[in-house]
Amino acid sequence: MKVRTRWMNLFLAVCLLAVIPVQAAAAVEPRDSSYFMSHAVHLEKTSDSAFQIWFDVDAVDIMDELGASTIHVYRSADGDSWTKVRTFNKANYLNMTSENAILHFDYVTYTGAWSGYYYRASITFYASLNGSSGQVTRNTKIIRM
Amino acid sequence: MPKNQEDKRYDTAKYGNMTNEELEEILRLDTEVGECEELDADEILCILDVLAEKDEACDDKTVQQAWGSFQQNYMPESKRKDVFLKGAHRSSRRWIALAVSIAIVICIPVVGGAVGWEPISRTIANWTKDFFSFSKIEEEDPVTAYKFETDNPGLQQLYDTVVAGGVTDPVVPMWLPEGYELTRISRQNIKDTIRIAAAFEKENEKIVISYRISAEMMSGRYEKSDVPVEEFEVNGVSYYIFKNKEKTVAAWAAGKVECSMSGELAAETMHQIVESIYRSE
Repeated sequence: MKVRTRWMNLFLAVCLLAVIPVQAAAAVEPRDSSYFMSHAVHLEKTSDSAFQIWFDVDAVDIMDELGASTIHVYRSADGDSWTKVRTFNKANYLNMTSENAILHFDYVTYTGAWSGYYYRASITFYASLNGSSGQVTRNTKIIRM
Repeated sequence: MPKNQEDKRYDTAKYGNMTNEELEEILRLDTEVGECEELDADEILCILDVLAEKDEACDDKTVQQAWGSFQQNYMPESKRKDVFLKGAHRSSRRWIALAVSIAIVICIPVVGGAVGWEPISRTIANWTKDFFSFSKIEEEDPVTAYKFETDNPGLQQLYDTVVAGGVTDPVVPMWLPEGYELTRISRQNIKDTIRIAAAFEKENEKIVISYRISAEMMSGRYEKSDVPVEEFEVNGVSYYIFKNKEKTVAAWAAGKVECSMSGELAAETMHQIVESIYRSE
């Protein structure tokens, strides 16, 4: 029993030590950007079963392409456990990005929302310039339909 | 054959004068003797009875003795029976007071804003090592003495666009370093939110000026490098200057407008651009 406990303790210690470099790397990863100046997100309820997902981004230069590359919509019955229910892609929604732009501000609409359920969205902003690109992801507030 | 009651009482008196340790030692030795037991069952029971009686009688007396010794030797002041209890109450009152104070500090801006106490809900700038943002914008009265004049046609066009968006506060600079010309101006709006951005260029160097005009205060999050934010005030408006990689960024909020400027500029040059917002002839 003592030997088993020691091995468990050793295993836990190894797991903890393995996590530290990952956390440290995340902590020192630079969050400034060569592409974006600022970004904002917003959920706007438009009816009992629909809401708009606004996304707004400006850049430090005129970008070849600027906007949102993906938008994931999540639903929850209790506000704690979330399920992805829909994804918007810039390939399918042409208003999510624009070309040759320093600013992009638009929205997509989610319909068929369930009454009484909680919703939130995760927006990934995207910018490309001279063959290179950058991304940043923002989460909206939670709304209840 | 069990012993009679007289014998039992005698044994009790005999063992009653012994200490617990002595009685326990007798029992221990008895178990070690083995088959040659010196104590019969009745006597063992008698000893156990005595031990039980001593335990019951000992509790109160021993506790009182111990408390008395403690008071005398270690805590003379503890003769005040309420000293520890009062200390505990004092400590808990402090924590309650601290919690109430924190709650009040947090609630005042929220409640103030809800009941229309606009002067309380000033613009609050927040930043971490990664991001900069505004929380709330204070409604300000229009500046009646403000007059926009500039030698830069691009700035004039930007000013006209901002005014067309319903902004009367001074938010457009009247000066940029020589050589910067307007190359792009964009305006987009959804419902009551208007976004305006302009790019000025000089020999491949860009200055981008951006406005987020929103009655609902759709606040932006600004990318920033992990360096301190400089704060300074001009005409009662707080301006914040920070770095985003090689770019210098100035951000501020005026009324319902969130403003920012970005360019590969020295901080001193950015200061001059900001101060030109209020420059008059």
